[in-house]
Amino acid sequence: MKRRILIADDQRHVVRVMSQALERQGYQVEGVLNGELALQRVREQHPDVLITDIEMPRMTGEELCRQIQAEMPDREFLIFVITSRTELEHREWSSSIDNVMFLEKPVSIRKLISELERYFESTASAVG
Amino acid sequence: MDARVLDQLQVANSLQLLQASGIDLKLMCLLDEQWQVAWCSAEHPDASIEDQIAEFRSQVQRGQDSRARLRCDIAGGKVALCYCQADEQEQLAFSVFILANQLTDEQARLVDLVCGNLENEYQLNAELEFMASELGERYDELNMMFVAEGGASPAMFGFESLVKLVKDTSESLDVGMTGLLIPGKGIEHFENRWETQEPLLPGMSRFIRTQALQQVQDGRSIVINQAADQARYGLYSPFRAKLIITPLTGGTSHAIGLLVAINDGASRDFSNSDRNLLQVMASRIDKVLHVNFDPLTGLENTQSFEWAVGRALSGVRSGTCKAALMNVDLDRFSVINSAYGREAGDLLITQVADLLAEEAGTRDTVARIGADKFGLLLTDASQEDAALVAEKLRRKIARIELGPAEFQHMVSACIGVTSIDEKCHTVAETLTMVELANKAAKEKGVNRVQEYQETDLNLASRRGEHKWVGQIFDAISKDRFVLFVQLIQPIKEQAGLPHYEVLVRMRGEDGEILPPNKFIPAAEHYRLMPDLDWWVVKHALDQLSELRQITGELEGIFSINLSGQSLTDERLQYQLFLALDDIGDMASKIVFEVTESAAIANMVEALDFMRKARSFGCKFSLDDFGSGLSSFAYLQSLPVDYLKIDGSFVRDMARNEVSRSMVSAINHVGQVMGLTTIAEFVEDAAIVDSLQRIGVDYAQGYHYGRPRPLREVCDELVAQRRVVNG
Repeated sequence: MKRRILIADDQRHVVRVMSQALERQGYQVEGVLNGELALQRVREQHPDVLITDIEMPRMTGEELCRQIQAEMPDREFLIFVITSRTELEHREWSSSIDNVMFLEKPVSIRKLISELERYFESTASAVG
Repeated sequence: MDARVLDQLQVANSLQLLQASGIDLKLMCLLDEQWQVAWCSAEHPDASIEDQIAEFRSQVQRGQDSRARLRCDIAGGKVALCYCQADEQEQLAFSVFILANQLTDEQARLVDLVCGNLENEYQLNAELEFMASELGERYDELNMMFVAEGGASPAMFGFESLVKLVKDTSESLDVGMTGLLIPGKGIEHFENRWETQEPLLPGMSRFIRTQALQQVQDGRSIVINQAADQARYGLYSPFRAKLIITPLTGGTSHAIGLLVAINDGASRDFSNSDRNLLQVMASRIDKVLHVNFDPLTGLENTQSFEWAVGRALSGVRSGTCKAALMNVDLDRFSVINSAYGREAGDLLITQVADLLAEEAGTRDTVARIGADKFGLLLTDASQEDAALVAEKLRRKIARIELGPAEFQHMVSACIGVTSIDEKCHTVAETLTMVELANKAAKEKGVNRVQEYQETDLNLASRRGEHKWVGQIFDAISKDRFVLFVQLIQPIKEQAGLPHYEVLVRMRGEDGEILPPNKFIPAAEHYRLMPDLDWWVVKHALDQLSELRQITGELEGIFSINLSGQSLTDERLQYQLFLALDDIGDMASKIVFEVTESAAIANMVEALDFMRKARSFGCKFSLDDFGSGLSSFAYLQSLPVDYLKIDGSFVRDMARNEVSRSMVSAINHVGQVMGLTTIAEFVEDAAIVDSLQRIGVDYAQGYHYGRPRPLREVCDELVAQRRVVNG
């Protein structure tokens, strides 16, 4: 089974570049352009990983995370939050969200891929 | 949105397409996000069009939907259509306004399709624009990293190269002010491009020094764009400035300073990209710090110190300042190092460094200029002032406590002092003066201060010594050295191949051959022995390899001297190992001679080096055994194969009973330990006779011949081989 990754970013080129790279790694990738659409997709089907930007129309990444946390307190999938600032600046609100990691912009695709690999390896070994 | 994206739309094509399908099109307009006409099919549209656009605009805004298609039937059978397209931020991006005569359903669908295509085209173009600008930014970043790599060269020393790097940073990042602060080294430099903000500096510098430095100890940079960011990092500055603060480590494990980019509060926010670039520059500065500063003590290093002395020298010559110089040389450091280990040695060095740093003022320079040597450059000080400081330092150093009680008095230093005056011509000469004063202090014993005195005969004669320095360098670069060898004759019946000791002579500028006692003392004094030794090793191995190529096998064992300095010189050892690797099994015919005192003085390094070298197959010979401390205990721990009995006993053994017993005793111990023994200074047959009776293996001296050029001996060996091969 291919791992499913949902990308939410209002910049099409970011979605495109990430999707291309992650699909090459064998992941099944879907991209949406705002937080609202992301939430809708997550409700329909949990991805294995959600990658989301912070600044987005309709629903920001922060709101999306809070909403997911409220609706699905037992969710297992990881959320990568992509920020244009340092992690420290998001520490406060993110402290109430489980299983969330931060990636700084500009995102290094190589770093993203290795983080994903590491994450999937750790969950695979935790399960089996 | 960028107007460029709108301009790139191929609206004319869409228009043609619609016209070709038979639609009676009166007008087609492209409106930007401000509802202004960006493109129009008619050159002079009717003024009433504007009213219609305004009407549509109010309808769209009432509907609160920026993505809409509105249709309006106008009297006379005309139809107006407006397509509003939004971008990803849900903001109105552009609209298409169309005025046509009567539309069939099919034609209306075609208009929908064409406008839909325009939207797609717009989105693709917008995406491309984004990508292009992002690519441009990344390209800039890469380019700057590349430029930073090739920027200020580490050949520039000390402060000067740091200033250049700060200037580069300021220009590349295009920021108002860039600051470099390293409190421990008294470095504080701002590159200020605002000019008007000068009064800010002292406060800014205090803020950075007192607050920011603590906040970057984890090695991470801080970016401050808003006042709230400051509080997040626990910083409280009175400035409405945007900052990136990046730590500098100078190759240590903690932040010793900061590189700071400062922009006006009203300017654009700093991005992660800016921060990355600043970090690149910081790592570049770290490299310079590393090159110019000693990592153990944080003091400047030799290069940097020489640069500072040069600066002081030009200041003195131009009459703007006076300066004095001292060098502090720890007594018995190698003993302390081998007795208590490297760690204790390092601890002592840092303690002394701290004492010196305490004594130095902000405009003085303290440097570590050798393993156990420090330099202190005092500005605005006379020789007398410096001598007082030196005396104080001497007393303080002698009070340093180290190791067990019985070694309490082991730590002390000799300090040479000189003023820098207009009589000094070069940095090298100035350093020589203080070095000579130090050497004079050492000669009188330990724990002393000695001022440089030009009239001192003892010193003056040494002054001649430093003239040799240039000569030696010149001789190395122009191959003015010549290799000689002296035969070491087997005197036991079962002894093997003849041995030769390789010796070095210098060919003077007029072609005369100079004996080693002319230049070796200077080479030792100025630590040129590793260079000289390497010249000898390289040329000897080259010639011997050549010989082996002709004769097939080397008909002799060749021993080459290595000085004590070479035993601790990593560069020489590295080159030597490469050379040994190159010659393959010929290494078994090569012996390195080291003196007992050199090996013991640098026991740890010597052992390590000898073990490594022996792994290539070569052997070691302990030279001058009996002349120094002569501890048989040391002999046991040194991995040597040959023992050379000091010539002074051998020369006297025919006349002096004590000398003969010494030779006999040394030979006996050597034989018991399985070493091959060699007697030096064998001048006549009577000595040979005594040696044979004692059982010494080899003899070397005038009795068997004076040293001859290696070239000559090689030629002879080739000739012999030819005779044998017949």
